[in-house]
Amino acid sequence: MKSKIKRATIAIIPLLAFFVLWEVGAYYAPRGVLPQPTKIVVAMLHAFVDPKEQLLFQTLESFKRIGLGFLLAGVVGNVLGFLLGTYFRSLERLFIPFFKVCEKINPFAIIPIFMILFGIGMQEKVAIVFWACIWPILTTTQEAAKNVDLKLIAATRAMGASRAKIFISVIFPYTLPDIFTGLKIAIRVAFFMIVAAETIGASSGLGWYYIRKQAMYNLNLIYGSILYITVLAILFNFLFTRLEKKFLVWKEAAFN
Amino acid sequence: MAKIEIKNLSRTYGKKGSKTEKFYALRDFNLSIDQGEFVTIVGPSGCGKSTLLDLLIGLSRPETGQILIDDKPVEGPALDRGIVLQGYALFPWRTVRKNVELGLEIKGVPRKERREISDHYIKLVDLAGFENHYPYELSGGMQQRAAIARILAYDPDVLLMDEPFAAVDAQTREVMQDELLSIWEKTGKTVLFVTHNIEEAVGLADKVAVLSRSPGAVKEVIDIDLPRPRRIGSVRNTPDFNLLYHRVWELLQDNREPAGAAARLPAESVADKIMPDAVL
Repeated sequence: MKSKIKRATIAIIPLLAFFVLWEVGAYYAPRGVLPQPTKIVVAMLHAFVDPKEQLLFQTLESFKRIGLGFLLAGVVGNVLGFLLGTYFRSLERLFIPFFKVCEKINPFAIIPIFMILFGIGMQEKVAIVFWACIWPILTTTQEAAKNVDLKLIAATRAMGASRAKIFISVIFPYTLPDIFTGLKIAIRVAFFMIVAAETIGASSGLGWYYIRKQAMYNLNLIYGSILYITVLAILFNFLFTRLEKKFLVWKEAAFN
Repeated sequence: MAKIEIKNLSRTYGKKGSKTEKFYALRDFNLSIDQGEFVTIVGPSGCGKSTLLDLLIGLSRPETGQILIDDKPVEGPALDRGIVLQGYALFPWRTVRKNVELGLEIKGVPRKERREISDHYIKLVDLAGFENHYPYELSGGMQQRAAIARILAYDPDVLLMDEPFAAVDAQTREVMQDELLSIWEKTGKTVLFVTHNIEEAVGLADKVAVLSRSPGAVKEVIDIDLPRPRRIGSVRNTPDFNLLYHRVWELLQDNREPAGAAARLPAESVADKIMPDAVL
């Protein structure tokens, strides 16, 4: 515990140094280029409290889009991942290479196509998040399901377990840590995507908020939005890392 | 009447329709095991022992011949047989107790009863006090005991064991062998025990079946008429034991490496394991 605090303290030093340097640098920088972090924080706090700014509402708008797209991708990606990783082997050979190609398509580049297909709005945003999230989820789950310890399956089947029981008792718990790894990658991608999509075409959301501040040349809030989005991403990452760790305990212990 | 009757069993590997010659893992394999008998199988690697065990549990089907248990052909996995696999195959996310209760869960035994049964068998294999430990917190020998308790817990008539003590150190191995013998004496189960170790094969068994290398078949069955109840440590240095040991050793010497590259079993996948006959 003590070493944990110590490590956290050490890790925070460069971060603090960065902000101190920024603060000092901004003081000497020409006007309208680099605001001071302290001013940014004050402006952001103000934006939170000011009902006209609607920062919280915009945040929730983005969360709604991320949440829906992520949830859909989680369900579809995991179901497909399990099916292709376990029961449908020849389909795996057929589809996985194709999926890997889809994964490599730059998701930012195809945002305009989604706009054409779905029109600008909720559907389009959810579809973009879904598209970006599903590949890491699908491939991680598929890979993990494929690599389940065969001995455990044999041992369970030898006891006359049904396929459903094998799935519930062996395949699912075995792949659970990897499922969370996939979800963690996906949520990170989802954050990138939603901000990008909202910057290009939207009338609400964090990306829209940010781009509007840019149009108004509100320097404090431009920088503030970036920091705010980063903090949110860190929080989500932290949450999923915790979940992943929770289910990873046995795996780490068993293989060390 | 024999408990297990293996008749003219054959099993080949090799792709359907491929031009390369089929490889026989087992060919005309015959063995008869009586109720309550302890039979060990020794053979060189590649003699089809794993294939035989898979067929006995019902994880795969024979091509020709059949396996009868209580005069009924084996048609798939069932709780009348239990297998202790090489390398324990314990569930790392389940405690010892939950591991032991797995078969009972599948059987549909209610929770309270499960607990009583698992308590009993955990005590029997000397793991009392470790019920709530995870497998990785146990030594190799203890893990193996947990694996044995898991099989005993659902009370199969037939115990199949695939080199269960191969991974534990020599001293633990001897303790485990004696424990297995005393459990066997107490429960009266029919045991088929596969091993590489001649001393283990002779020391434990009523009968040793010596196998020949590919195709796997029974070369000879040797009756072990050493006195019971037996303890490995005390029986090991008797002249009778040495004669039997030497007899088995001699039989194994004839097994030369087969010409050419040794045939290899095809790689298995999760799909094969879940439903071997219906992989898409």
